[in-house]
Amino acid sequence: MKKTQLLKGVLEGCILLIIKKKEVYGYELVQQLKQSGFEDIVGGTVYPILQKLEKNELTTSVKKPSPDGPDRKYYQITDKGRDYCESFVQSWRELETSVHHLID
Amino acid sequence: MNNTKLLIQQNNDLREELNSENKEYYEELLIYLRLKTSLKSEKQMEEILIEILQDLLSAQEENVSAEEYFGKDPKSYADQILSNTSRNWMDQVKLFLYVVVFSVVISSLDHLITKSTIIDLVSLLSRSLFIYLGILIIFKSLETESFKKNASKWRNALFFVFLFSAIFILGVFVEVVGFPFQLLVTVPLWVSWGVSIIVVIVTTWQFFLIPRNEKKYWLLQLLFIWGTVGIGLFHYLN
Repeated sequence: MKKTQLLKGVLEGCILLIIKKKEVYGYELVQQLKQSGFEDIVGGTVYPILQKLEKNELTTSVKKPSPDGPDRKYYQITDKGRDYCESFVQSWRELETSVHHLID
Repeated sequence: MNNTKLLIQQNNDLREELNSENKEYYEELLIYLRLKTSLKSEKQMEEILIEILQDLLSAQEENVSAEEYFGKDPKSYADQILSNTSRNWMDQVKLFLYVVVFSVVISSLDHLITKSTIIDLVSLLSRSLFIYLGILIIFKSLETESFKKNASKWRNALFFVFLFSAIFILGVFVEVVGFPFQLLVTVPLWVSWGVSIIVVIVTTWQFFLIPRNEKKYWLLQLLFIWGTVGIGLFHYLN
């Protein structure tokens, strides 16, 4: 199975986890995803997810001045977002355990 | 709205920093998203557009091309972005009102020459509707043209030329045949003169404000307005 199929459900959670650690702007986020091992990720996939997260109030955004040009949009996590992260991590751990059992 | 205009201006300036390959990639995305935003919030879209632009520039600094950074299938990502952007009917309403105002202006200029004092609101509205439909078709054709490969570009263009011509012919037909009912409103000549003078003043003033290199695109319209008023004056004095 292509990694991308596994990825879809999980990507939102991962992006939230990154934002939870520290506020980031779009490019930084994509960089961190790549560094975490999502080497094939592209920006185009990330922006719609960021939109959705903000729409669902899991994140909020703030504009900060940037040295070269217009203000830059930084994403921050909300309390609702933190709750979502917790339940995501839990679901992931449960899933991991189940799959683990089946592999062995 | 001012905020949005500022964003568009900043976008125009910032875009120049992209290298030619990245600029081409981004501009295709830009045009597609802007055209398809007709029923959606322009402000939200411009914010996303500038965000993507800034990130593309960051990528460029690290020698990552726009395609590498954003992806090989920008259209599908663009569609996803669009589906997540909120609707905005007001802009469509505003566009239609602009068209109505435009029709009123043309009517006024026309009255100068024909010395008519009657406006038929029904035909004014139907004329506006057809112009509005024509504009929508042009927009639709431009937005579907983005991301298309050369072969189907011709088919696409042909389809829209056909559609536009159909609307145009229908519009002219309706103009000529008219409606079985009318809503006549008396518009004294001085009102037509008033509107025309205001139009002359505003467009001439705007013309002087346009940057030099863009002046040539608007010259024809300005001359048309001046010409019409001139002819009207000529008729009036005779």
